[in-house]
Amino acid sequence: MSSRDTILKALREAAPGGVEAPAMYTPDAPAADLLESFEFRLKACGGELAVLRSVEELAPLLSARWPDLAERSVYSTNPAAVPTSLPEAAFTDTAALQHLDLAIVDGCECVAENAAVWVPAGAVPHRSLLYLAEHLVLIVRRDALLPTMHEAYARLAQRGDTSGYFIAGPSKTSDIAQCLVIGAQGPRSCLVCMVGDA
Amino acid sequence: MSARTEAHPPAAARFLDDGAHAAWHDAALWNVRDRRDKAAASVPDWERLREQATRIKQHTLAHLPDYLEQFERAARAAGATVHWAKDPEEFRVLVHGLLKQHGVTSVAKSKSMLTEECALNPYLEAQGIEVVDTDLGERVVQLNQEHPSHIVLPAIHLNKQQIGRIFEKNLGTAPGNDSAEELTEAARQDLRARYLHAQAGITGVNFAVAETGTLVVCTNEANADLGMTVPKLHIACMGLEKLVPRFEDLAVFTRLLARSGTGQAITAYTSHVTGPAPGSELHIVLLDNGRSALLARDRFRNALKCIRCGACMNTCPVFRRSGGHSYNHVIPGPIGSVLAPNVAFEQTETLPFASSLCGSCTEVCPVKIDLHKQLLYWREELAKEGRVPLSKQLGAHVFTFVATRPWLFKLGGRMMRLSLRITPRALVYGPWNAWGKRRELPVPPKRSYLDGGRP
Ligand code: SF4
Repeated sequence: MSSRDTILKALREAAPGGVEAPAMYTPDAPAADLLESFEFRLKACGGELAVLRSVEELAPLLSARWPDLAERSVYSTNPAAVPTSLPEAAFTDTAALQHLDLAIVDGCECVAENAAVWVPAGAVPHRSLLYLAEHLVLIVRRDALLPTMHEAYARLAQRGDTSGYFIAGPSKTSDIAQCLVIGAQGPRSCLVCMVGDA
Repeated sequence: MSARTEAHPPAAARFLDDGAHAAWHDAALWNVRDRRDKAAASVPDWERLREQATRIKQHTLAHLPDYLEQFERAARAAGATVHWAKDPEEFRVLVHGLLKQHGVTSVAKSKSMLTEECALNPYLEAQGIEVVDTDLGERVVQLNQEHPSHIVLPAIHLNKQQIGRIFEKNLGTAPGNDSAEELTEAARQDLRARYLHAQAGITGVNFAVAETGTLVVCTNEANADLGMTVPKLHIACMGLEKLVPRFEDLAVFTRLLARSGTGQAITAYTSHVTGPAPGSELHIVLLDNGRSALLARDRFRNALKCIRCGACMNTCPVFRRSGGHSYNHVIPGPIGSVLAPNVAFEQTETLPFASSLCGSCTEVCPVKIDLHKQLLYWREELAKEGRVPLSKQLGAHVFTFVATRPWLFKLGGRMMRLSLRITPRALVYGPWNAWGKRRELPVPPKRSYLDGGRP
């Protein structure tokens, strides 16, 4: 008998069966204002929020933050806001992507209770660029802000979006004697730009 | 299972020899526990959420073979290859086979207690494959040639100066440099080069979804994410118990995991992998290694609900004051002490006693495992097998004799209160009194609780 069958047979003998699945969970209504809560949580995990009226405001914002933006290597899923500086051949070449300064990526659902932003795996030409980039800018819509993970997962399940990443702030670690260091191995900063009306 | 079988009490005593460091360890973990409390309090429906989590797990375990088959079908449909391993040996051979078949000579591995459980690193290294642990804490312990002492905080037993010296020796940082920022930066530079060099990434799995075949991996450093997206081969290793039935159930567990473990609202990266990325390969290895046997044990089955958050370790007064290595088991702390006897009954017989049975672990566990009860049940099993040390048996017999005779109980109490007051210190605090080691006995009250001497 294969290991698979041996294991399944042992499990069939062991599993008691008969326990109903609980109904889908309904969370308590959030107490705080969603945007306020999102911003508070994002700051708590080392990220930053910019609330923009339109995506046109993004380019000046980023130029103010990185005055040498034009010389930097940039990948952008939103070329209307900021263009990509990398040649297309570099998009799927991890050796080239390791020098990526800035990834500007459109996100979807944003979660007020923990500042997580959903980025579908298919949003980028190579998944690694989300992590190889030195800095990450996520562009999200104000009306994609949801109270908790339950509402977010319900939407993902509904549209069958099961490959992707919840990203909450920059990479970090406390592994050296519990001292928090922002910028562990992935992006050193994470700026979430929230655009439009609720 | 490796042959690390020293009993808990002597190992714990050694940990306490460095008093200053032991005090730091205790305080650092208590601080994490405190952050957990604040994070839990920020969710108004926290208790309801724990209840939902334990019920989802209860249901999944009751129907585990069906859910595993469903998971296998869904993962295959998404393009992954699913493998099954009965024990660590089969697991190691299987993973090595996959690496060999792909011509892999260097692997970037992110945190996975399961690969520790199977002693994968030494096996692969013996076959000439370089394995780099990429979680910073795990990298530190790897460079120091030891094992993680905590499942979430692998290097919590080391202080900054020690880590500075490890980095000086291995990564060439300046002597005396113990700045967490600079050491982290040195590790970042070193590791990022290694992802590009590695031909495969090995990761653990936090949750897997039966309905969709999705794997979920949670990290803060982005190390698992780099490991599974930079190389073209991703091998994900998971215990059979990681399943949840529905994609939406993930909301319950991602809300609980980081809050319970570190007090964060969520980990920085919660990555969902359903099938391989375009142009890449995804292999999922499912490991049994005693899990099916544990499922068959009515009283202990609940331990399979564990989501490895580490909260029971942070809160445990014994863990905080004895350090993870003193357990000599891959998973230390309360959950380790209930998992260990299932796979290594005879080598781990002191672990169910490494607890005051205060029940704090049970209170913080996000999936409501009855940890302190399970510790007690294991003591019972050990006693049945005659594996309880004589000193403990004797104590229990004497206590039973006294406690079932109220007159004797009262008399004994009076004598103890009196004798503790008049006996010279040297006679009380001798090697014969385990309760007087490294601690002061309380000053006995004049009258007992039963006499109305309540405070
Ligand atoms: S037993 Fe509970 S508290 Fe301990 S690690 Fe597992 S889930 Fe966390």
